[in-house]
Amino acid sequence: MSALLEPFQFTFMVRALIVSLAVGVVAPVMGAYVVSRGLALMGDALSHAVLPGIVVAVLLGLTPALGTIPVAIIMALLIGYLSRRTGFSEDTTIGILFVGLFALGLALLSISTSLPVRLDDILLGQVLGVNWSDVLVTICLSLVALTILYIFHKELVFVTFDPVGAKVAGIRTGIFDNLLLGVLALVIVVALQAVGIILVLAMLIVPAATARLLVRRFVPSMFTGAALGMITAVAGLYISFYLNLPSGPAMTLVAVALFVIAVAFRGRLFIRR
Amino acid sequence: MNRPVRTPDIPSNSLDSSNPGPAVVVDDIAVELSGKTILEEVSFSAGPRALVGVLGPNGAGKSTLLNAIAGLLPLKTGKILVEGKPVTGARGQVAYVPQQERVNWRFPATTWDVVMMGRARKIGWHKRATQTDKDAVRLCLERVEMWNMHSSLVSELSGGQRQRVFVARALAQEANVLLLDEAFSGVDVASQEGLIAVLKGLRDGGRTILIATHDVGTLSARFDMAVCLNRHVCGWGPPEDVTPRLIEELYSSHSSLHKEKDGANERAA
Repeated sequence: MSALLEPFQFTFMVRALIVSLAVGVVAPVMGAYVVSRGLALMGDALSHAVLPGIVVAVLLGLTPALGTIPVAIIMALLIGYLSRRTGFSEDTTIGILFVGLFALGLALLSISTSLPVRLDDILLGQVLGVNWSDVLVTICLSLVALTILYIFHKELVFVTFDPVGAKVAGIRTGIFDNLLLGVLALVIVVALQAVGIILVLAMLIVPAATARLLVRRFVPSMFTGAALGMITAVAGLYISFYLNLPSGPAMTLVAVALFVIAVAFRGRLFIRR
Repeated sequence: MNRPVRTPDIPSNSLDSSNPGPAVVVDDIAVELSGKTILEEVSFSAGPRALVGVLGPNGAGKSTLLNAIAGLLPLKTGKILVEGKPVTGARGQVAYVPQQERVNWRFPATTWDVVMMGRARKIGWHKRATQTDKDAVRLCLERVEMWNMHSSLVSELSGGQRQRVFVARALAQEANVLLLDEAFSGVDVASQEGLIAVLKGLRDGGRTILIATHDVGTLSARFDMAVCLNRHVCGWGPPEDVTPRLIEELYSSHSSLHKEKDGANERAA
């Protein structure tokens, strides 16, 4: 018991716990859409593309989220524009913007030698290093993301399942597609702090996919995903604390382990597919 | 030269909404998609209270026509009226049963969820379903005899069952005009008959239903009216008039159809 409570005599662990729980809830809830819409590449690309935003924000002494949100939104809009303009498929334009912006971020990072952050922490996540303003931003962004998903649930579900039918029924599908990308951007910004750029995808899709193996319906899979996400985040946090690992790999390993267990045991629970 | 299919005039008073004119009027429309003309000189009127087959080979523009009637596509020329009003695509005037390939089957929607989607616009933004909506969903599912499967995932249903669920969704939308895109593909023959029976019941309730299909073989008993389409309307009228010769024409080259149609125009003038 003391091994479980001991870490929390340090306030940095309390802050890390709050951020981890927020990520654990919000990423898999958004992840339910990512999994059923095939947005994994988009999520991965967005998380990498925000690097220049982080660097600029830190240079200006701002909280990183303020730099990442505009870059993520610009990126999401540019993908649609470039695909229409060039005729390339979306994954190609996503890939080009992904590497272009990520490279720009890396270049900015190596030019600005006096930067008070470590590249490792940005790439791999260091939830043990968050400060109170990061905690506040995380809570606010998580609440915004969850509120949007709750308010527009019925429209987002319709547009995801049957875009043409939704359009005919009088739903402005373009607005909701962009809204969902906007929420994805917010969630990525939140998740970045815990798992870092490279492993955002882990929190976004792994608990959500695991949940879908266990639960058949969409909304229950969101709740199951959130529960799995919290378990993942907290377990990863302990591993990170005791084994002195970056939090990103620690949480990712837990998430993937849960997925593997779900795959192994699922055959006994359902006789589907 | 015999004309197999009549081409009735579009009633000129169809804009007057107090007059129970045709449910769907397509008046000399042309549609271009990325610079290519997909439809031109397409005119017909249908309903009210009709089961209409839109027949033509693959690539004839059947889906494009349905999308245009749904208000999803800009018209290059002409106009489309649904129940006397121009379509805009923003009002939910018509309900649409999409081609199976255009639905995201990765999304785990239940039968109940799908039919409730038809209520989305009625419920309104950021509001929740009321008891009225829930009753409507149940009623629509009972109407197509799918209530007993309301908690099944639609992705696990058969082709015919899926179509019934989508028809129930169209009913839940409370539109009088229903568009079904390739409703019979992937549906076995027995289920096709069941689906037709359901649609006939809806027609008798006053709805106008347009079904696009490339399967013209067994059409005559199914529809009240047939619209033969191959980029333009080759003819429209009662299905008995859609003779084997016209079907042959429909599936043969485009230019010969132009000749047939030009001849028809001369006679009409």
